Amino acid sequence: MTLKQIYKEEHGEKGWKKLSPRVKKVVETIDSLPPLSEKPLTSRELKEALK
Amino acid sequence: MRHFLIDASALVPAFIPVKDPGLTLRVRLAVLKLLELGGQRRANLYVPNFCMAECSKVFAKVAYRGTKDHVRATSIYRSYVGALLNVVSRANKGLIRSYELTRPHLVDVEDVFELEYARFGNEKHGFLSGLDALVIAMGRDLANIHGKDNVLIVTKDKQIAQVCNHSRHAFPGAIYVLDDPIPDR
Repeated sequence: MTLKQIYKEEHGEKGWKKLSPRVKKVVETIDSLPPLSEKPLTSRELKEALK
Repeated sequence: MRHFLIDASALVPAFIPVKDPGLTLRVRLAVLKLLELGGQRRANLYVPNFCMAECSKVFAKVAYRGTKDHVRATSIYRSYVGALLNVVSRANKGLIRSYELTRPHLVDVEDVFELEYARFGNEKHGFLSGLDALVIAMGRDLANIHGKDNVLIVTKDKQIAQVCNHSRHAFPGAIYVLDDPIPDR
């Protein structure tokens, strides 16, 4: 799920439209990144990577 | 105005979606809320500069592990670092500012460990790392500048949150992103 989708689920389409352009740009930049790993990561793997 | 000091444990999940979001979703929602507050200029957002290196470490670990295509991994890794620098940058007027580590923070680390071991010395859970203690020392520095009630450390590390929240006489409060909401004001 992308950050944009998460935000829209919480605040709706209206909320997204109200969001400042700077924040939208950040969210869209992050969402546009290619997958970091070949296989999607699990929460546990991400936790391990943070150690 | 609130000042939030965000550590790598809270920031990294915003960049890396996982296939079983679960608790990670809460972290991503918390970061979105922080970005929203920052975008509305209702809060200042900071990341300790060394946490940028911690984020890069995670990106590298994930990108290079389990792949034989080193060139592709490098390209992807660099795109993540570029995005991070875009979000956290003074020069690019990023939404989050990098907070510089200075000598007084290194000195203050001693207080952090003394208070941690005085309060949690006999418990069996893990203890703060040196970098964790530096995050708290930098939070204390921000609290000295802006007032203790105006500064919050945002973390997914339970120990950082516990040490801060059990030693409020010495440190700013902390938001443990898996349990605590980001306050509106």
